[in-house]
Amino acid sequence: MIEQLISWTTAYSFWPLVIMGLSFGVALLVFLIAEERVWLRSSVNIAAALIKLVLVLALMPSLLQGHTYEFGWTLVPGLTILLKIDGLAMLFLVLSVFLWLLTTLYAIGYLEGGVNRARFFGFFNLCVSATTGVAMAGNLFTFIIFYELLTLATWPLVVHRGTEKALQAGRVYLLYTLGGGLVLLTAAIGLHLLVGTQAFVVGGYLNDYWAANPDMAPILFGLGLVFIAGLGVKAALFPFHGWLPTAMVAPAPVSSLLHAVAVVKAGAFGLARFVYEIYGIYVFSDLYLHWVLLGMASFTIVYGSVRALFQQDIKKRLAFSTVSQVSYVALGLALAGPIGAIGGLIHIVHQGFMKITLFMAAGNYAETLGVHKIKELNGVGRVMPLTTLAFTIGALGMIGLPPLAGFITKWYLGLGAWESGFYWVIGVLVISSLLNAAYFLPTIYRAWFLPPPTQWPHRQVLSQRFETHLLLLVPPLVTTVMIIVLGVWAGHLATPLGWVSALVASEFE
Amino acid sequence: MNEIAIYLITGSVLFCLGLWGVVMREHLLHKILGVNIMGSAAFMLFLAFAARAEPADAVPHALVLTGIVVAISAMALALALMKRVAKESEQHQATLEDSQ
Amino acid sequence: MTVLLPGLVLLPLIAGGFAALFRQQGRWITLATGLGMLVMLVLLSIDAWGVGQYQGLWTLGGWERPLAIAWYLDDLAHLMLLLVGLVSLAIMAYAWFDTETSDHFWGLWLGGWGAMNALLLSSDLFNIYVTIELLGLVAVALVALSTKAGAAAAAMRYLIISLTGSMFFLLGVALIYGQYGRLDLIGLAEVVEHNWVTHLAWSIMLLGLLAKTAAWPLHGWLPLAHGRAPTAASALLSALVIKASFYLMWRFGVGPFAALSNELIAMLLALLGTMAIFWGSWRAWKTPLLKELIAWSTVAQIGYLLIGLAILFNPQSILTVSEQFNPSLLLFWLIAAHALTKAGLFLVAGNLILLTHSYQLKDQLAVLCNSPLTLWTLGLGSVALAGLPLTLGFIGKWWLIESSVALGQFWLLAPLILGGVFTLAYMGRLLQPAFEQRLLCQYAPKQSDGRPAECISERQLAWPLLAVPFILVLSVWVLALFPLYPWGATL
Repeated sequence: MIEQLISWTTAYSFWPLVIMGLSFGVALLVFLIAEERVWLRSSVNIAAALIKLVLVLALMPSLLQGHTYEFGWTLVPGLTILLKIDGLAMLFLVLSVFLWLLTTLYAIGYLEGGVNRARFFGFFNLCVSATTGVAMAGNLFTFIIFYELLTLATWPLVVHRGTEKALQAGRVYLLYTLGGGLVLLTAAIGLHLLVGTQAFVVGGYLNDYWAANPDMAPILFGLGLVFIAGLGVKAALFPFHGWLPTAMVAPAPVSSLLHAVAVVKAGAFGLARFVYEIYGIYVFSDLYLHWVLLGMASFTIVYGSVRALFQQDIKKRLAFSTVSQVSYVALGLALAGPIGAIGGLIHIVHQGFMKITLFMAAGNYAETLGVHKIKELNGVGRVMPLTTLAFTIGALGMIGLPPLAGFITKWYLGLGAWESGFYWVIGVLVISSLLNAAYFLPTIYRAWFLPPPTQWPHRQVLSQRFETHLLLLVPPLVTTVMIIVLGVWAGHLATPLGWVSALVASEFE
Repeated sequence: MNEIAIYLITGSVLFCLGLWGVVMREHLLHKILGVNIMGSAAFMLFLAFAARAEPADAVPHALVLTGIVVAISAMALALALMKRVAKESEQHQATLEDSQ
Repeated sequence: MTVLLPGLVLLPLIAGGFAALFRQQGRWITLATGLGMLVMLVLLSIDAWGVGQYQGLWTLGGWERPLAIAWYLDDLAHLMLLLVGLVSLAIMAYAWFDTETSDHFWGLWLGGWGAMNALLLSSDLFNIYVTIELLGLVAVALVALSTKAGAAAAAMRYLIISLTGSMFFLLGVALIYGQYGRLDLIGLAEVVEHNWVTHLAWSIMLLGLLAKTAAWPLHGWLPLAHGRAPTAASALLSALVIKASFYLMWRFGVGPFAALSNELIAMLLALLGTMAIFWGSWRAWKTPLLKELIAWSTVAQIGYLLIGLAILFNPQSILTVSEQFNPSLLLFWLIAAHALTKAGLFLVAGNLILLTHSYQLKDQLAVLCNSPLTLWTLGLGSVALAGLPLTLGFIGKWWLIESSVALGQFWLLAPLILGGVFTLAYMGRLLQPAFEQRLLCQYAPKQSDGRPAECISERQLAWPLLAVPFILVLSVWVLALFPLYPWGATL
């Protein structure tokens, strides 16, 4: 049966276009569905998310056999839109389509009765389309197109609430991300001058150029810095992280999917493409660019954690935690060794699951009880035990408690630091874990063990039988289970870890 | 040739004079007349060039005739517009002071 | 083709005359003419595409050269003919449903269309002078159709600039005739030499054409004229009329006067273009008026075209790589992108003004907030205007970027890239408040007598008024996927 599937999928090369176009088409459809036809819109959304998930999963067996899918469209000579599904793309694709399905369910529950839902879900789908485009981009030009599209399509979601505060946050968001996009474009033009715009290739396409032109080191180094800056904005590397905490005014589904998965991961994923498939890990480390990235990532990890410690707002604390955690990916790349690389790439998936759980739980608190501040969380575990359980597991995963997913990341990063001889990075990891514990454990303690207040800030009865709306409850529970599964069965071949290990093996050949 | 040079120089001077009128004078009628003078200067150059050949080149005459027709239509539009500007302006002045 | 080329000029000119005489029937005459023009454009494309350069001679009254009318058709002229035709038709379709369209409009623009086609096809400097003068007069008359306060003054300012520009052009033509005794572009290309008279003539002509194109710093008239003209007129002027003089600079600069181009003039044009982008964007950012914002954006966008011109004029540019396709023709897509987008945006602005009866930007926001299709048109238009990838403008910009880099003019990357960001910034003034929830109809306060709140939205307009700008803007996105289609996608 698997053979049949493989022979069927490999017979066509248009799958990347189908996967990208599916959510694009759905976006257009959703924009056209009248505001009040909630059921139709929800069914279309869920059906599309399911179809996309099935499609992506159906392509996996053939990818395991080493097949890749490419779809190219030449605009003018030297300017090609290239969509490609390879191992690295698949990692990001699976993550985004799976979490998209969950977040769609969550968003339907979250926005029930709100205004402008057609617009929200339209742009939501557009974002997913852009995210899959980023994942499947086969060259720098295509990557930038979808990278910018992602910026433009998320902005309406950030300002969705339409308050002065939301619009202000939207301005900051645009300023940072468009600025970053511009810097990236500049870098891309620079690289285009040197070697043309080539397709991403395992091992990078700069090796030959570097071998032939060793005197270009300063230029390549400078260009590398520009790339890191351009991608670092979305990846929220210090000092380009300012937009992320501000963008937290967005509705919870936006914060969870976009800011935990799509946008920051687009940056982190772009860094991975840049390090492995543009420069190539050897050119990258020959130029000592990994030192730069390592320094930035380490600083951001500690800085984000320290800032998170002092936040009183739940979502703000989670946002700074994201700033810190996403840099683990950059850290893994910067270690420039295969084991560290596994830790970094796997964290793209692990952080996605953990952070989306936390954000959904925070959204549940806000929707059900009106709780927004840390100090309002007292005793929340007695009213909303399942949500709090999800929050707890997510937080423990972030701290890196074995056998949860976060532990796997930190284990590989630690081993990778040892392997590459950056012993001080282990210190960074330890400090970061302690800080994570310092800002998560008291919160968990508060939620379970302190007495609840007599009056919640703004309590709504969303369900008669469950602690909150069913659509708000199920998605975080699913991701919670995933956090445990990804940790406990990490060694199994069919997990992301197995996938990433195979990927890294090819990049370091 | 000398005679023609006089025409050429006069034409050039006229053109500058017209341009000066367009740029420096405020009243719209002056500006319109300035444009007219610029046109006449160009026509004069055409004719002077025509006179260099023996017998005189006929083509520039045809061109200038066409040009005059075009210039007349332009003037008609310009004058009509000027009247409207004057009518609509507060002091009934045909200037462009108020429009910036 | 011998019938089609004069037909494309004569049909609209004659029909325009009739439409001016029988004003009540103007729109019907226009409808018939528009259909006829469409048929002719299709026939021309079937007939003439791929034949390369076509030269024709129309011996009116038996007069041979140089008094006969000479036609010249190449890829660029052909594409421009199509662009002018399609945008004209779209705008006329809009004007048909616009309740404020004046009866005079039909005859005027039919005449303008004929003049524009004649300008595109002429291959004789003096004929070109006549056509550009005619087009200028039509344009001024279109502005003057507006009954808005200040429209007459704006039209007057435009007329004076336009006429002065024409006179410069005419003077240049006279000098060329004096020097070479001929005015046909093809022949001139063979005889033009380096001498001070030719340089002077070309500079004077260039100056006149730059003024007519509203190149910085000769742009002062444009925001007034385009900002105060009636809706359809603004769209036509911004989309097409200013492109006519630009087209001439392109044609002359790579044609008869190619030998005269030097790096100084290229540098100068690049500087003017850069200034136009910065200054136009800045003013668009500051202006309180809706249509002036769009008009200032035109000033900025002309900057891109000027930079394109600078590259064309740089003697070191390598303009031809293969026989079938000249990459500099990608610059045409920049013209087309701006024409289509700007026509769409001016029509949207016209819709808003029809609804609110206000020219102030701030009065439009509540309507925008409740008008999804309008908002989409504006949004797609803004991104297209910014020339982001996947839009047609990007194709043109890409050629600019690649060429300026190839010429070593790295500093040009700054205006080229920043210009897009500026565009998003000033268009954001319209887009961003549309997300303010307090402006939504369901939040509007009830009227004093308790009736539901008065809520203005696009639903009050006839649907073609919404559809035409949307289609115009959308076409910029669709065309962007097939930029090489005219030359066969295999290149």
